[in-house]
Amino acid sequence: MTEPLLSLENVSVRFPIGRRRHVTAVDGVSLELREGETLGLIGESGSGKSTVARAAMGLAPIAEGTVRWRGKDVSTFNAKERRAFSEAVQMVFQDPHSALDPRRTILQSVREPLDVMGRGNKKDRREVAAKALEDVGLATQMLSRYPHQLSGGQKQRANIARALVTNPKVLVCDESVAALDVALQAEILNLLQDLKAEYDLTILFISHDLSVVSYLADRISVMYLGNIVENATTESLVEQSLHPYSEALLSAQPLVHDSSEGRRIVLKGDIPSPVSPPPGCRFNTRCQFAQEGCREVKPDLVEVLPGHASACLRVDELYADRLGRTVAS
Amino acid sequence: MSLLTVEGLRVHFGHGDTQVQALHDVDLTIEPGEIVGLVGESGSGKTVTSLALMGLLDPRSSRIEGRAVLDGKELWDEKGERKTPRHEIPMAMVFQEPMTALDPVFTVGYQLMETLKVRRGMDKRAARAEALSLLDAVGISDPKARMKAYPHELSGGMRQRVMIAIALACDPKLLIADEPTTAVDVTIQAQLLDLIKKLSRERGMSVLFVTHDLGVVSETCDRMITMYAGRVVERGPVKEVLAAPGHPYTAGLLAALPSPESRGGRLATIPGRVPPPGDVVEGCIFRPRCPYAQDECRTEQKLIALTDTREVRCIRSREIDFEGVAS
Repeated sequence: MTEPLLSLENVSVRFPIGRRRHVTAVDGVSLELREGETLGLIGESGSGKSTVARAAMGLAPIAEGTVRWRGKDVSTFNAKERRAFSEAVQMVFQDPHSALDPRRTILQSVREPLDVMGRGNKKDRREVAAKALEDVGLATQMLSRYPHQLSGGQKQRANIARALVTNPKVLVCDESVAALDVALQAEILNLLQDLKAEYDLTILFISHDLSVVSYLADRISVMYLGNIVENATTESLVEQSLHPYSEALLSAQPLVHDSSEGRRIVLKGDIPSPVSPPPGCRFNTRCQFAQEGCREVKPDLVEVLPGHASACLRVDELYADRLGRTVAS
Repeated sequence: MSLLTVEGLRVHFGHGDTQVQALHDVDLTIEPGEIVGLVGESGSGKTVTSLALMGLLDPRSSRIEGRAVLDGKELWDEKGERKTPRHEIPMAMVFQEPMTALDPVFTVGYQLMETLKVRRGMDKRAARAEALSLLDAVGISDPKARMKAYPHELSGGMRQRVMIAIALACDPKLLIADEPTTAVDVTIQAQLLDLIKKLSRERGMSVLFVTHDLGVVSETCDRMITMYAGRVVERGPVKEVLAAPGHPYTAGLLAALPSPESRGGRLATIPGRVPPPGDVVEGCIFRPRCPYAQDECRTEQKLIALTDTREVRCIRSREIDFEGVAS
C-alpha cells in the first residue's frame, strides 16, 4: 500500500478549562488519509470531529501523538516546509457567510491566500483567483461583488474557490453543506465531486449528516466523545455496521422511503460531557448492550474484518452473524 | 369539522412602493390529532405562514389578509387585527433554536410556571405541580432538580424538551413546530420526533410541522404541504406524495437528497433559486426553474385535484410522471 498522504497517530488534543483542569476533546485518535480518497468523519456535536480536522491542519494544540504529512512529522517542519504544508492542506468552513470578510469583494477574499504567500505578481494572482472562481461556477461579474450580494450557495462556492487557489492536495470540509438547502447542497456536493477529479484532490469530509457522508465518502470513521469507534468502507459501514453507536446513528437517520418504525434504535440521553467522560467504553452510558466489563475496560479499535475496525468489547458476540463467526458459549 | 381552516391567507411586508407580498392565497386545513408537514426551501413562506397564524408578525411592518379559524374562533378580523385574546386561542409554538427562545436569566421552572399562571390562571402551587408533571411528560428525568436549572445548564435536546413543555403548558389543540429538530443531533432528533408523535397521539393534539427535511416529514407526518415562493404547490398524504410527487418542485427536492445508493453519481439539482418576494414571474411561479415547462405554463396555475386527497399546482401533473423515489 502507498504511504498515506496525511496521517494522525494516537493524537490527543486537550484544552485548558480553568485552573489545572483540562478537557480532552480528542483522545488517542489515529486516522489515515490516502491519496485520492474521500474520508468521511461523522459524529454528533461534541464528539471532537472538528478538533480532529484542526489538529490535522496544525490548528489545534496537540498534547500527544504525531501528525505526519507524507510520512514526516509536521511538528519538526521548518518554516519552508510548514508553508508548503499549509498550502497543501486547505479548509472549507461550515457557515459560508461568516467565513468571508464583509468588507472585501469576492475576488479580494479569494486572492488573499496568494497575497499572504506572496505568490507571483498582482496580475498573476488575480488570474489564478479568477480561474478558481470560474472553476467553482461563479460568473465573472461576481468577482467585484461583496458577500452580502451573493446567495448562500454562491458564497460557499467562493469559499471553495479560496481553498483552491493555493492548489492544495487535501481539502478539509468541515460541515461545508450543513447550512444549505437541499437543492443547493446537491449543487455543492456535485461541485466537490467535479473539483476532486479536476484538481486531483483528497478530501476529509466532516459532517453530522450520514446521508451526505455516505454519498460522498469512500471510507467513513465514526467518532464518539473524542474516540473513533468504527472505521470502515462506506458500503461495509452502511450495510454491516459493527458498533452499537454506529448502528444507532444509522437507524436514527430519517429516511424518505422505508419508514424506520420498528428498526429504529433510539439512544437514551445526551452525549456525556467530555470534561468527565464515563470510565471504560465511553459509549457505555447510552449503549443498550453495555455490561459490567464495558464500564471498566476501554476497548481498542481492532480490525475485525479486512478494512473494518470496531472499538467494542462485545463485537464478536453481538455481531457474530456479520462476522461469520460462531460464539463459543 | 377541521380544527384549523385557513382561507386565502396573504401576507404583505412593508408599505407603499416597497411593499412585497410574501404569501399568496394560502389555504390549509388541519384535522384534530393530525400531523401536517409544511415543506420547502428557505424563502418558500413556511415560517411566515406559521408566524402569521401565531400572531407573531409585527403589525407595523406587515399586513395580513384572509381568514383563519381555529377551533371555531376567528384568529383575526377583516382588518387583520387580533379578534380573540391570545390566551383563549389553543395554539402554541416551538421554535428552531431553543437557546434563543428561552430566557437565559430565569430558571426553567420559573418560565414554565409563568406560562401556566398567565395562560391557565393557576396559582403558584398548582403551577408548580403542573410544571413538574409537564416536565415529566416531555421525558425530562428528575424534574424537581431541572426546575431550578437555567437554560445554559441544559443540553440542546433537553432545552427543546423544555420548550415543548412550555408549549404544552398552554394546553394547545394545535402545536406549531418550526424546524424543532434542525439544531440538534440526529440521535436527539430521533428522541424529539418520537416525543412529538407520542404527545400528539396521547393528547389528540394536532401538529403543524415546519421542516425542510423530507426524511423527517416521511417519518413524522400524516399529510404534507409543499410551499414554493409563498404558495402552496402540492398537498396530500405523505406516503403518496413521496412515492409519486405530483409537482416538479417536490420531485426536485426528493431527487436532490444524497444517499449511499446514489454514491459516485451526480445528484439532481434545481437550477436557479427561489424568486424573492416581489419578483414578477409570468404564469407558473416555478416555470423559470422547471425542466418540464411549456408554453401552457405561461398562464397562472391553480391548485387542481389529482385525487380526493391530493392537490397540485401544475397543469402537466397528469401527463408526466415526475421522477420520484420508488418505495
